[in-house]
Amino acid sequence: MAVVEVEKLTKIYVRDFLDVEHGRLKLRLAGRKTVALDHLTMQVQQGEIFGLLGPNGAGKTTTLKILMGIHFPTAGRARILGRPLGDLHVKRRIGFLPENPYFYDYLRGWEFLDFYGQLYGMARAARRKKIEELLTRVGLEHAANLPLRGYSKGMNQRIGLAQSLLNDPDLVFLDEPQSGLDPLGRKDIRDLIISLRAQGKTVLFSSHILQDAELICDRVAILDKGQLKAIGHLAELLSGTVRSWEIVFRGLSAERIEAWRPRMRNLVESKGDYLAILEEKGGVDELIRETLAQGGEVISLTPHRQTLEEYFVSEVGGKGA
Amino acid sequence: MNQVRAIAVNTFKEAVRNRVLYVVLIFSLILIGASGVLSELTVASRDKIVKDLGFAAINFFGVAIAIFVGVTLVYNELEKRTIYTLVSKPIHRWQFLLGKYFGLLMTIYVNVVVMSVFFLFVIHWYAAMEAERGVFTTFFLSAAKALVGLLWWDGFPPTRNIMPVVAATAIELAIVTAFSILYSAFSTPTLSMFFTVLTFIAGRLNEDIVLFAENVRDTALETGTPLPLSYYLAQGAAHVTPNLGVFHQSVEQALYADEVTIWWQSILYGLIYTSAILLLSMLIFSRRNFK
Repeated sequence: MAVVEVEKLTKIYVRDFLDVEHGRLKLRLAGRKTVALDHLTMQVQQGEIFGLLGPNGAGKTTTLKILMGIHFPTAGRARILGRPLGDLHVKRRIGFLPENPYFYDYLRGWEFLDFYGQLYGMARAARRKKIEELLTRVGLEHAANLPLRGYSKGMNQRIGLAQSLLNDPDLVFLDEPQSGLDPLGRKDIRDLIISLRAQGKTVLFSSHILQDAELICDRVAILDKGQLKAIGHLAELLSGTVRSWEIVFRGLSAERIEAWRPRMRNLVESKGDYLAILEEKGGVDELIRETLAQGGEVISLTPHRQTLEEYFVSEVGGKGA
Repeated sequence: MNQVRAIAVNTFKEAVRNRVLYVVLIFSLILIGASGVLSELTVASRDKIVKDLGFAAINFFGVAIAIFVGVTLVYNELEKRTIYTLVSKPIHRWQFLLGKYFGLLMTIYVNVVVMSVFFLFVIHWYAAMEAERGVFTTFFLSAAKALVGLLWWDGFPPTRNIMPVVAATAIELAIVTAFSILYSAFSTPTLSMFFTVLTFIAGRLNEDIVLFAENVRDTALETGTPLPLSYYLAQGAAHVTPNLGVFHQSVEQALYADEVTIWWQSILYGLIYTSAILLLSMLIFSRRNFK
């Protein structure tokens, strides 16, 4: 079942006719237009981790802003949980973490979550229990009574995650949840996203950090300049594109190895074992036959598949990532 | 309504935890307190000077908070992007704006109450001084009278006409606050401030503008010339802006007479005007793209 349906969603930003720029009031006769999203169509299925990937300015944040009702689309439509955007029933069942979140810095951690809990209409006792649980889950128990003003970037991200889970949502939207975090913080968030899926929740997150996406996403959509470049299961997008083979073998004569050397991308020798990288399948078969014919042995053969990063670079044209 | 209340309380917390508010409050208290000393320098009666300055302080600082805090309230949420998560919560945009309004109004009213208590205290203090009791007795007696007088308006002769004026001021402040929220719902703080100040001035001068329009009309009728543009401009301005003079005239009454009347019509006028402006703000805000 599709929990997020996006159909030909388009967003064109027009700078205001009357605009304050650098502190000066400017009158523009023709507003400057930027196409941030160009007929985006995609669906997110229930229970999956869906990655919205693309370089800066690809339209990831715009998509999320429209889905959250922060911006209105110029054209096209989108539905969440089968209902139109802005529906309060839907908002009760979703959670959202914006990019580089910033919260009321005059509030303490606990106070902040309590305030948001009230917006969900949660009773006092329910709020207390949930907040305690979430603070532990995101590792902020010690900072509950500190003002948000003193939170580090990582702590802000964590309290942001906590607020997105207050209502035990079925569907969580995370905009660049791992940006600006250290490797440990990124791992924590990765684990949290995976645990959300284990609970049967759907996670839609945007990222430009591909390794993280590759590790946890079921499906991804790749955006560039507001257009959808590719969408599908990671395995579908990347399989069939084995880029090279890594073969480890021994027992081939030295002169034969020298003859092979030009066809190998890389050759390393260690205690009589050779590790070679070959780029064509035919060469691999030939090398195996020859090695076996000379009485040698093939120790291992590993296909090197295309990484998401390589795919991304080829799709987006070698920029970004 | 719970959501509106939660947002209002949060807005109140934001304002209360802002040091600027205390500076404004302390300054206003100094002004009220100094009124007795200032009266020594003038020929007018002390009573008049104390009341004059007291009313002026409550009015001026109330409007100042409405404008300076009001115009940044919505803007800050957009600028700091705190609104992003708020919008994803199950609240309507109008609830957000209404919460902001009531939170700000709560802040202003708490300030007004603090200023009023001090104002009443100063008046009782000077009245009690004449009885020549000890300083402590005078202090506690005046403080007690001030606190009781806050609710029991008719309680003590020297201050019986103070609280009705403060109540009228409170209605005026509700209108001004609604305007600062309206302007900030669609423009920048600087522009909002400018618009709100203009609206406030035009509102106070509302009856004068009407008089001016009538003068222009009479002159035109006498000379048989067509009505000039200034007539229509003045009429337009008088009809668009609120008539804040209605609420201000009670101050005049309190200074020169013992009886102050608040007409129920003016209360109704204030309520309707405030609701209309809030409704307009909510309409504009619900269609707005956030940065």
